[in-house]
Amino acid sequence: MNWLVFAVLTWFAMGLDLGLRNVLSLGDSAIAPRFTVVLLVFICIHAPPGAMMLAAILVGLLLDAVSTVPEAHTANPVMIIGPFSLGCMLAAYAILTVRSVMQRKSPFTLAVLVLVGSLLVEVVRLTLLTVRSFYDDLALEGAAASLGTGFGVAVYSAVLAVLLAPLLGAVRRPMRFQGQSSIGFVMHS
Amino acid sequence: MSRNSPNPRAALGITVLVLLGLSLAPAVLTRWMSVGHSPVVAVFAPLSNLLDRMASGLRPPRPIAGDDDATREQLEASIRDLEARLLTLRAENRDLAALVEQLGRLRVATGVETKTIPATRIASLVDSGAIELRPGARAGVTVNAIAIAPGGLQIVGIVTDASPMTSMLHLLTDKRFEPGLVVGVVAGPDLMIESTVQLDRLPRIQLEPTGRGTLVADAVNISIADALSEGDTVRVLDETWPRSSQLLVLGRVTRIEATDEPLFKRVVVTPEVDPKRVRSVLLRMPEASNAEGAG
Repeated sequence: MNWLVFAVLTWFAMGLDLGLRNVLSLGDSAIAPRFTVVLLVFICIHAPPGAMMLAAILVGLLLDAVSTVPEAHTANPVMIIGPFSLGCMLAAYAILTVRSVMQRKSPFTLAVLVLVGSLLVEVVRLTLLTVRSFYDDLALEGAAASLGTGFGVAVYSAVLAVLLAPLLGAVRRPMRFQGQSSIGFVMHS
Repeated sequence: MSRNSPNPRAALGITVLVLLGLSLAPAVLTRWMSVGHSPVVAVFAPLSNLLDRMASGLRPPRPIAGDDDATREQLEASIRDLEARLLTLRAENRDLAALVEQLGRLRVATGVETKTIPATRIASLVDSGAIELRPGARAGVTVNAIAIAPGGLQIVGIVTDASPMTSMLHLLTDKRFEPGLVVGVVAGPDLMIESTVQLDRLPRIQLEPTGRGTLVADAVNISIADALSEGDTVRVLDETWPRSSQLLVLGRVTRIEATDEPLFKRVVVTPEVDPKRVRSVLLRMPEASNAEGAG
């Protein structure tokens, strides 16, 4: 996989995430699509297992790094490394197990897998943050509200994936998914 | 795969464990990582800021629900109200802190340990120049307890009778007030009194109620009167009065008048609060272990 193209695409996707969140959010809610997750799912559909897992870790770490959780009493933002990363890894693994039976080039495959992947990311993230909030001073929404928001993000991202599928199809060649991984990280499956 | 390359499964397992540990570690251990947030966001800032500026034109900030002129005025009025209440609370807090400090200094200056019981006026007995208070003896109120106005050290009167549920407070400014005469020291305009003040060097005047809301010293030697100024506070320093009343405030000097006698002047002292109008008081009396030197 071409990691340089991956870096550029990730930078672009994260920039879209950060820059368009306000304009794309539904009303006053926090429901907004995640371009980075769409990109990650696209990579997971096509890349070799090792490369996709590494991509999942990198994208997850970036999502962790740009997301903060406020402390309940001081409202100080706390950066928590791990929830998104683990969620992305689980989503990547789930896609790895089902992608062989799916029509990889179909935009609807991308949409369905984005829906599943986003849900897994959100569930893992919310679970870890909820567990942590039992002993840490984190200001979290209620579990039901958070899951509702997470589901909304997943659906919105899936809809966005259908629209982005042609654009992502165009970068499949420069990504060189079937080529030798430049860092030699190969996952046994 | 070369022989020296890491075992991917082990590397993945270690990565998962590390991420799990970081996810669940308390904030006190991982707070330092927050310094990485801004640099990472800064990497994406060129694109995200550009998009954000462009997007803000597409979807301008929506005013909050009901943000019409009436609501704005209502909110602004609420803000002004809250600011006024904040200022009031700050002033009350300042007054209370000053009172606590004064009471502390008073204890040091008089050497009398006192207890304080809040009491509320339940009736005005205008004919007898007294007010009826609740509680009474059952709550620990004793005869000769001194009533002071809340938020200060101004004497309102003396408890002359304490029934189980109520107590009778004779007002300081009533002409029938017993003991009618009181010796006060004039301690300058400052309401604070230092424990180091030499009380015997302060000018003394003997006051009696006029029945018109003031106390008066009719014949003050001109050498003492000339040392006084309007606005000076006058405090009790009279052995015939209860010990718990010593150095409490009788009022402020409001007038110094010449009399027919050229060697004497008339000093009028006005309490800082009108005793007839107080709705609640604090009753000061000695702790049970202290002997009361009632007058």
